[in-house]
Amino acid sequence: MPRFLQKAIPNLIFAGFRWWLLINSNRSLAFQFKLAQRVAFAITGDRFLKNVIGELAEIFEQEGKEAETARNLFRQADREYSAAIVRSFLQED
Amino acid sequence: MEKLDRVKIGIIGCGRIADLNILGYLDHPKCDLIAVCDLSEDLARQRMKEWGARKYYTDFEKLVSDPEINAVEILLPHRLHLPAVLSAAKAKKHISLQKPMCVDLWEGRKMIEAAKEAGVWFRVTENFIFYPPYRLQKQFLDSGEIGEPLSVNIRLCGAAGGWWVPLKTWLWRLDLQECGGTPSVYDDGYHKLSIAKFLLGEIDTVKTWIDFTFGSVDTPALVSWKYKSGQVGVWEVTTAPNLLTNGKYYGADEWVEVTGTKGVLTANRCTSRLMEIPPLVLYKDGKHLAIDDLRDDWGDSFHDAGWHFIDSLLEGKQPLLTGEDGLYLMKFWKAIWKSHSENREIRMDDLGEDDR
Repeated sequence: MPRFLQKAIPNLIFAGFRWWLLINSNRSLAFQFKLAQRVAFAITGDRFLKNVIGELAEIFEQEGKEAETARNLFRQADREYSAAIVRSFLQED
Repeated sequence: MEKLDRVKIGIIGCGRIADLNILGYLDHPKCDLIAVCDLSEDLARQRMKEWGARKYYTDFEKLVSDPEINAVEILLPHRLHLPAVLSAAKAKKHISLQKPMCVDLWEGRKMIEAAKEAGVWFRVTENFIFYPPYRLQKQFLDSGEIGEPLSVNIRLCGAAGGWWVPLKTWLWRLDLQECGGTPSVYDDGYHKLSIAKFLLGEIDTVKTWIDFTFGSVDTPALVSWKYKSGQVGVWEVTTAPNLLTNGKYYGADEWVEVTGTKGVLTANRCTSRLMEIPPLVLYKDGKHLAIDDLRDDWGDSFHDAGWHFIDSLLEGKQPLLTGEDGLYLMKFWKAIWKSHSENREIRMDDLGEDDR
């Protein structure tokens, strides 16, 4: 794959994900994360992944300060930082 | 206050940090784990089985009312520290409260008053002062191994790796009101401020620079201070999310260096094991002494902090840190934040007592 595409694709995916996250309401995000949780678990059988996505769903479902903080984080984070933090969160004990 | 024959402990809050705080209570020969409490019944039940407690609660008011319990370890979010301490004091239970003490000075003073009025011991759990390499560093310092101390240099790097922590637990720490301060300089920083005071005593003035990542994570930051005894200190705070730590706990590590007129003492780790080098190195008279034969797992500091609380209650003595020590560190944080907000040097003695 050409080098410029190797760099551009992750940036596009991240930008798309951030746009999706910020344009949806908290309730809509909670619904979509719950759906994603079921699909992800059905495909992978990974309980840890199920719990992580479930936590995200719960944060947006409760529509409290944590949801607002999460939105602020996504608004300001750049791709590299976000990827590193997501990798960190997905690392099991 | 009378000495206890046995400590019968109740743990309030069964989250991530409880995995470490519990260690000392599980293997002390004169301590019984009576009950655990968490808002999540599943978690409370799980911890009861895991730790061998006799019972569980989901309401801390009920735990502190349990007549079998004579002491509590409070491991709750900061906003709940005051109500939990007041309830425990009213129920005449000796109290160990996880740092940071409170969200403002007023709460801290209320806690101290309530404990005094109830006639119970009250301490703020701060494990760094029980970390074996730091304790040995302090011993060398006090015995004059490096001559007269000149400066303290602390470095904290938040990095990748470490154990899983629930997302919600991270998020409330990013809210200034919920947390009582910022996540790195205040919440995690409480430990570093404690070490700064532990090593060379009280602070005279503070000058700070804090920048923010993502708008809410307070790094990079540089905190500098002058001690009342004339030495200087500096604490550098950074975050490197692509830097992988080799650690069992949080993805972060610390270095603490003390320079004296005759030598240098460097503690090379604490929370994690970023580098595989001796935990403590003493340099003096042109020679290095690398001290390897030392317990240096971060968990050891929690274990020893727990034993210290138990032993203090058995001996009828005040456990560390006292409420006043805890409040002092809150003031140190207030000076740091004020220096950052007003972009000037702040004298600790000029800080007001009331902040409500």
